[in-house]
Amino acid sequence: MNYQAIRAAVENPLLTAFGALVPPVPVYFDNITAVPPNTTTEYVRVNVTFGITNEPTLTSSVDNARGAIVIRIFTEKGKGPARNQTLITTAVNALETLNNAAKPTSGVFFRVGEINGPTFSATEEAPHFVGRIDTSYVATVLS
Amino acid sequence: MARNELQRLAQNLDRFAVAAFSRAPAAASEKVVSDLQELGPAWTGRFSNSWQIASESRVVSGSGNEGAPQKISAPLLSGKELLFKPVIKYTISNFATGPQGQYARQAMDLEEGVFINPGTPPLKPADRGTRTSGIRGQLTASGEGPNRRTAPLDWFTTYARGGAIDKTVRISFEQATKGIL
Repeated sequence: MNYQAIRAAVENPLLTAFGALVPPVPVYFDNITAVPPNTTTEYVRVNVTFGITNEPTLTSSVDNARGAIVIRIFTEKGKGPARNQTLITTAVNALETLNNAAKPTSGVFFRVGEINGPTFSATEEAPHFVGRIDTSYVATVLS
Repeated sequence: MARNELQRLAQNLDRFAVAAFSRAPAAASEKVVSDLQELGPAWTGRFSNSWQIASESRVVSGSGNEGAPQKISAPLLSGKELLFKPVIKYTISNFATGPQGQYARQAMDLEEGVFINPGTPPLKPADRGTRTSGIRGQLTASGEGPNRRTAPLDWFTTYARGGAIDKTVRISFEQATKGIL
C-alpha cells in the first residue's frame, strides 16, 4: 500500500488550485504547523485521514483504501461569507476534477464521495470565520 | 391442524421474525455508539455519556454524567416501525452540554469552540500541543504546549466517512442475524 501516493493524489490538485489564485492562498496539510496561532491571514487546512485499508468486500483489488478528506477555509472574521465561499468553491472544483479523471493504467485511481457542507462557524475568541467541507474517498493503487 | 391453530402459528412466526430482525439494527446502533465512545474525546466523560439512540417512537439516552463511558441499549423497534416506517430506523446523536451550552459539534471537530481545562485529569491519555485555531483537535504536533486533546483531529469524520461505520454495521448485522438467515 502506497499511502504517500494516495495522499499526493488529493493534495497536489488542491495545492495547485489554491496556488493559482491571485494572490495565492497558503494550504497547510497534516503535520504542518506553519500557521501562527491567532493570525488573521487567510489560509486553507487540508486533513486527509485513512479509515480502512484493503477491506475484502470493497473490491477484489487488494491495494485500496478508504478515508476522509476535511478541508477548512479560514478567512477574516466580520467580513461576510463571500470570500470564504469563493475559496470553498475552489476546493470543491479541485475535488470534482479528481472524479472526472479517467482511470489510469498505473498510479492511483482516486474517487471522492458526496461532499458534506459547507458549514460555517466563528467564535468570539478566534480571529477567523471558518468554512468546512468534508468528503469520503476510495483510492486504489494500481501497479 | 385446525384453522385457528394455523393462524396462531403464523402470528407467532411473525412475532419471532420481527423480534429477531429488529435486534439487528438495534445491535448495530449500540455498537456504533460504543465505537464513538471509544474513539471520541473523553476528559470528564460527560461527552461520552451523552450519546442517544432514537427510533421514531422512543429515545434512549446516556446519563450525561461524568465518569467512564456507559453502554446504552437501543430502543427495540415495533413491528410497524421495522416493516413499514422509513428506511432510517435509528438516529444517533449527542446532547453533551456544559457551562457554555451544547458542545457536541465542537467535540466532533465540526465547528470551532472555546476549550477550558475542567481541572481534573483526563479519562483518556492526552496529546499536548498548541491549538492553532478554534478547532478542538487542531494542535501543533510538537508534543509541547499549553493545550491538550484526548482524541485526534477529525476522529468523528474519519469514523463516519472513512468506512469504519459501514464495517461496524455490517458485522453487527451478520452477528445478530446468524442462525436466522
